[in-house]
Amino acid sequence: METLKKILADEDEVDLTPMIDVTFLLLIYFMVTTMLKQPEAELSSSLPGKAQNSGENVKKPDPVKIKVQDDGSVFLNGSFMDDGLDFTLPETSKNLAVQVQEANKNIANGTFSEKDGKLVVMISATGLSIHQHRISVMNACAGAGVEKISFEF
Amino acid sequence: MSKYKPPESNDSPDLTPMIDVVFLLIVFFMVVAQRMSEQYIALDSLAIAANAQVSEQPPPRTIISVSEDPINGYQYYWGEQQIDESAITDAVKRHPDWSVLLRVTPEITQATVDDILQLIAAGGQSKVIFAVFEVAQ
Repeated sequence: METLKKILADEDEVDLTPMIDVTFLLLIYFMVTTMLKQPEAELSSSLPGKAQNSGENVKKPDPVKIKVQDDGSVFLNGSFMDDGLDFTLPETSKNLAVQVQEANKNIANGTFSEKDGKLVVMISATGLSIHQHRISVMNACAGAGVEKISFEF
Repeated sequence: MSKYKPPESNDSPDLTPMIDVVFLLIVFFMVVAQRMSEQYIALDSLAIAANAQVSEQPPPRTIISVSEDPINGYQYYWGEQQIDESAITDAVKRHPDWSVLLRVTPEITQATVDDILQLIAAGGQSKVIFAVFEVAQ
């Protein structure tokens, strides 16, 4: 009778250790799979739309025209800049930075208004060049501080 | 002298709050992982642009992805849904005030990208954002 009372009085405890192990494994799994995805960055551009008539007497600087050839080589206003093998396009970036500085100087001294004086870059790429080459040019523009980028089809 | 028996004590720590916190963390990471994967399909690679910026909380936009399959050719996606090339204009027209996020693998030719840009322009949208990676994978 005493033994039976003792058995009935004993509390059954559930061992939680395996559950905690599984829980931690799940946590680590979801932490790792969440971190593995590389974040995507963005480069903005505008497609050529209807020409906006801002007035006959509005002075605007000439847009910079960049051409990308089939092999990725880059020409800026007709002059060869880079061969496209180096995606950073160092010569193009340098040239664009100088042009942006020039445009900002012209805005500061009143030659052009702030709205119309910003440097505009028109990018045209041949059909056989790959997407990376145009992105390299847009990247060079972003690095040089060009805010207005458009495309020529 | 009778044997001294120390009083029974239960010194084991109470693990219940720790388990609650761990479950909360699991649910958090499950939700975050799902949210990151639900917007668009995964592409093998994107173009590289070191000066591009990661947008932390972008506004809603129309997401068009293009991948190339050696057997099936070009495949177009609107979000996670596969569509025909001709449906891109309609997809853009659905939300005329949303800009377009264009995700393209870097080897795709410019002629194909230009066709897509013209379809986007036909949808009345002029703001196009290209998705890139800041560094190579």
